[in-house]
Amino acid sequence: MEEQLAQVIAELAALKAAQAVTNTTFAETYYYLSIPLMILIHVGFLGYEMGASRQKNVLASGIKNILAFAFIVPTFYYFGWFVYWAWTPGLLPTFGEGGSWETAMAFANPLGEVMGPNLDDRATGVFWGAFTLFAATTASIMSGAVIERIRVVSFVILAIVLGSFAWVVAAAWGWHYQGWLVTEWGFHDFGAAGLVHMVAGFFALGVLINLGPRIGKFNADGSANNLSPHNMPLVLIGLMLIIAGFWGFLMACLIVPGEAWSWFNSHMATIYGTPTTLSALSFNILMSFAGGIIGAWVVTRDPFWMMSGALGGIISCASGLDLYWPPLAFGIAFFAGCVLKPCADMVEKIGIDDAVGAVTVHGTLGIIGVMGVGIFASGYPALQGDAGTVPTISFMGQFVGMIVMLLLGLVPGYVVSLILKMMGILRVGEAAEIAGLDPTKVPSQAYPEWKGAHHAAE
Amino acid sequence: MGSAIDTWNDSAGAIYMGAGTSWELTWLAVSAVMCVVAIYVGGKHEADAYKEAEK
Repeated sequence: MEEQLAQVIAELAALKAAQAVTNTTFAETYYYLSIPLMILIHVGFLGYEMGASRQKNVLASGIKNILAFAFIVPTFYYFGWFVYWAWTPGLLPTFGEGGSWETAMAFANPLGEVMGPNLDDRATGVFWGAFTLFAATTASIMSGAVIERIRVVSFVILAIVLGSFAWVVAAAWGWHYQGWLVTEWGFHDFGAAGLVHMVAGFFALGVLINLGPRIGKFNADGSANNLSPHNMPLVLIGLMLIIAGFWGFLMACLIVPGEAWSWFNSHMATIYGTPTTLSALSFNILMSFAGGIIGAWVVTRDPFWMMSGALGGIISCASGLDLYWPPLAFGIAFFAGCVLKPCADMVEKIGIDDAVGAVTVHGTLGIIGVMGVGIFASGYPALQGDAGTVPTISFMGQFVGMIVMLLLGLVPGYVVSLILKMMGILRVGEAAEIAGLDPTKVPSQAYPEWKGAHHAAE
Repeated sequence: MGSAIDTWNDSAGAIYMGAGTSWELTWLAVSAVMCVVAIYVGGKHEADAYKEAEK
């Protein structure tokens, strides 16, 4: 009897050990697979930006987009991941024992043992990888707005500032259970409408103010000319690929169960530790995607704006994808799709040449995303804890967060691009812009068999 | 709208805003009407475009 009992106990221990290995392997694989899905976002942006360029600039736009991704990876390793863990308290980290700096040194020190192959740590690399792809997404958002006239080196510098610092500070403040926006204001931004999309969109606006419009965009009387994409089918396919990649982005916003670092043993959680499911996301991502397309179709009939509406629809619901009733998500996204083109026209009216509508899709609709939660989901607890002991989601909390996100994007985008402009290295030379960036500086040709491939498109 | 949940401790079941209230049917109806309106407006635009092409 005792022998049998000992055997059962041993088998139970073995089963538990095997279950733990399975769960850990699942968790590691889950985040690992979100990375190639998120790379689809970059496939999409690459196609989108190259298609949106005029023929004479197509490869130069592609180079810019590819380099943004490439430089984000090492800089996010060197300091971006560290910033996420260190900057949670506010403008500066807290030092000393138990401070945020100590936490960052444990989790994200680029010279630390967890920042490399380590048999005892199967989480840091995949988390870092997922966050690196979030960072690269912010740079890609800015990338499209500034095509055809920004210098590559300056663009790379701006991409690093945005992707490895600005949005990371926003995430530390508003996408971390210890971030001050969450603990003091109950800020809730499940799908990063504020900290990724608003920050990137308004960073792009700050850059565009200093960069200026493309030659030929505006007439002397202020009216705007349409500098058409040279390949609209490529643009549309690019946008649809971004939608596909978004699923990887949003799945990486979840915390899987059952690990030592998990919030729950039985179901998924948001990054704040509040419960949610992939099922919830499936409902709301699809409904918001559809609502955005349909709303934009009603107003514009234009496939470019319809697909921008798809993206904008998801962004307008991103903050509350874990909490919305799906038909509400459809309604919010439909509204966002309807206002998308009018908002983009307003940006153009004030003399901003945003080649792909990034400021509107990500900045303006990101505001709808953040504030939507304050309107429709006020009262939900922002964190785990007993009733009355944790902050709740509120309109004012979302408003404060929205202002913070806007400034975290606009101010560094404007200041850094102004410095680059004063150094004379922000913009390409006028002759090169007129002749085309591809014939000026790219060793290969996009369409070598086309006659006039390197002639001015207009 | 808003939350019927004041703590996530031991939460279970439907957690979406307006769960178990008339807001469910309201937004269901609103989203369906949006689809119908979109189809009507789109259909009218299409018909007008074809008529124009006949001229």
